[in-house]
Amino acid sequence: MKKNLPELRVAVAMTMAVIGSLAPSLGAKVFPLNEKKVPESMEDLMAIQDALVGSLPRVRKATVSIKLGEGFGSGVIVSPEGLILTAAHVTAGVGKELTVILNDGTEHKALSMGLVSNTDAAMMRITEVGEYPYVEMNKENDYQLGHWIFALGHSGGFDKERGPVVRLGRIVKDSETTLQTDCKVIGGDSGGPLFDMEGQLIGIHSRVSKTMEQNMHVPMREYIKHWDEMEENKFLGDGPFAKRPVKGSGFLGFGSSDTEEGVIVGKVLEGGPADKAGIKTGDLVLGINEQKIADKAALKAILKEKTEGDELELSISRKGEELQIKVKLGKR
Amino acid sequence: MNTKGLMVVAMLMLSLMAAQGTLPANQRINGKLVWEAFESQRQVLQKSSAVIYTDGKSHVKTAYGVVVSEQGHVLTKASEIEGKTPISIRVGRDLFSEVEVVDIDDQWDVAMVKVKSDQVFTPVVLSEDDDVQQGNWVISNGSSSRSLRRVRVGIASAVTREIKSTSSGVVLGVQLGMDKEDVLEIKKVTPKSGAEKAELKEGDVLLSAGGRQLKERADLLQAMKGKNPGESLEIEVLRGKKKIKLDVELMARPGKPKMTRNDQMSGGENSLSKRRDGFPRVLHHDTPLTKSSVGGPLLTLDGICVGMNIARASRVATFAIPARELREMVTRMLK
Repeated sequence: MKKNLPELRVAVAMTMAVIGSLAPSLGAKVFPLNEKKVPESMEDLMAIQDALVGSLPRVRKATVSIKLGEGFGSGVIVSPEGLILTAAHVTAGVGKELTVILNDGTEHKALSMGLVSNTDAAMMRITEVGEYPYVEMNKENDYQLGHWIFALGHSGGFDKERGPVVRLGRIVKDSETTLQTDCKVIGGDSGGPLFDMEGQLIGIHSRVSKTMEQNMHVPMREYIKHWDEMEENKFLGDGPFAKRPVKGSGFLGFGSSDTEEGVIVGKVLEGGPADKAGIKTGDLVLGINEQKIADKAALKAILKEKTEGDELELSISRKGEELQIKVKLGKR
Repeated sequence: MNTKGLMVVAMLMLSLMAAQGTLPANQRINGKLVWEAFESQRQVLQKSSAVIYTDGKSHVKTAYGVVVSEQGHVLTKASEIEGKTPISIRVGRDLFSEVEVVDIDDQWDVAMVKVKSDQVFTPVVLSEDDDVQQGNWVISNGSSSRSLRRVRVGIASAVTREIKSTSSGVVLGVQLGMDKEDVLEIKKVTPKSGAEKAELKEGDVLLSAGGRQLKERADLLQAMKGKNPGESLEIEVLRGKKKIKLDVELMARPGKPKMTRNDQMSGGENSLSKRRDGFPRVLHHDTPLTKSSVGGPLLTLDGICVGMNIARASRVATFAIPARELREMVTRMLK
């Protein structure tokens, strides 16, 4: 993990630069229909339709489907390098490997970044270098009750023939950490984007309640507020949308015994983390993350502070040869 | 506290309430005040959206229908009226109780009914365009009173496409004998099945299906694979010494369809159309209709009919038969 950080920082710096360059164009126009209580004429209805149809082609391309194991959700790309905003209950943790599916069906590897577990905000990034379609964010937070908005998302999972599904509605309620709209969303839409009529991102789909008009989204301001921390892969809050990994929950997947030489690897669990990393029975464990390991107790003490998903670098002596092997801890 | 102070507090509270307020129900996308802007489309529904009743009292609607001829031909969702009598229909303010079923298309789940009346009806104007652009308004019939049809609105949501059947397959409606492995002999014909309608008989030996030679049971399953309920399959049988060819209409394998998590999130059987997949092509929109509000016309802002609502599919989706297929169906059924 530690070794990956500098590389990540580079990506982050580039992302910031791009967002910075977009800033002057943001918040320039206001959709005139938002000034009216309700549309009053055919012209008003046409204005809504034209704005929606005009914004769709651009924002559709940046709306992605996200696969994590058996689950699926949605997300939206907000930088050409592939930074993605989504929901915390979609990424379900920090540093998780996910798959992003673009509308043309191409799959890209991705990694989850920081999240806010009590509001459902999360960030992730595509790890394959490329230039990706992206949307602008409404950083002014000038969305209000009654504004016309539209939702996109891969309802029920990715369907190439169908593509992302669009829904129109209005902001029904606006609180600090939740936007409620009458844009209907469903499973698979989670993490997908909510846009204003200019096609600027104002929120991310989170959850629904029983009625058609209780569709909840995480507002953009929540992402802006925690932007830096999410970029730094922090797990924030102790809310219901993601479970904080418990210290000591990770495991290596081999048995060991104390000998005069040091800690010797015994039985290696087939298909376990150590097996995948190439650790073999008989290997001598000299150290972990540059800390010397004198006995099993020292090994246990280190694992106690680590959680599933953490990466450890083991110094191994195999038949007199010294090796450095990285192991990603599994879930106990 | 003086009056001025009270005023300040009251104003503060008011502004707080506004900040945390809720958009009044009548201003939401399907609120009464928003519907007022759709008056011209409502007038089309008033004349050309039929209310179908099967309760005998013409009180509670079963479905809507699309008026497709001046003589009173109306299309509606077949599976919603199937086996239900008597059928009565309201168009505008007028109620008609002499109604007969003229034709049924199982593949599309559409029934054509004819109202017996000398009245001249106003059919919908069917669109010449094949598809509706994503993001365009679409208008359906929502609720209705004796005298009024009301609108319910949404937008075209996704690419017009096929919705494959998710049912666990189709059957002919026969039981085969188990005693001879290489002979597919009919032991029993299921009552009211496609096999019975096609007059397959006990003792018939199945030779081929859809042009495929049948050597074992697996061949028959292969021949039915990917078929939807309502589609036909050509079956060749050996009856005595005669070879006979018959068209057998396939029906859904009996048993309850599986409810997915999203189905449950959508209100389950109470909210969704029983038949909501297995359509060759549908226009997908986000109008929140109830299952008894399908069957009626789907209009664009110019009042042109771009489809017929055929299924409430989920919390976020309603499907409509696109105008192209609807035109073909109307032409075929009116012949």
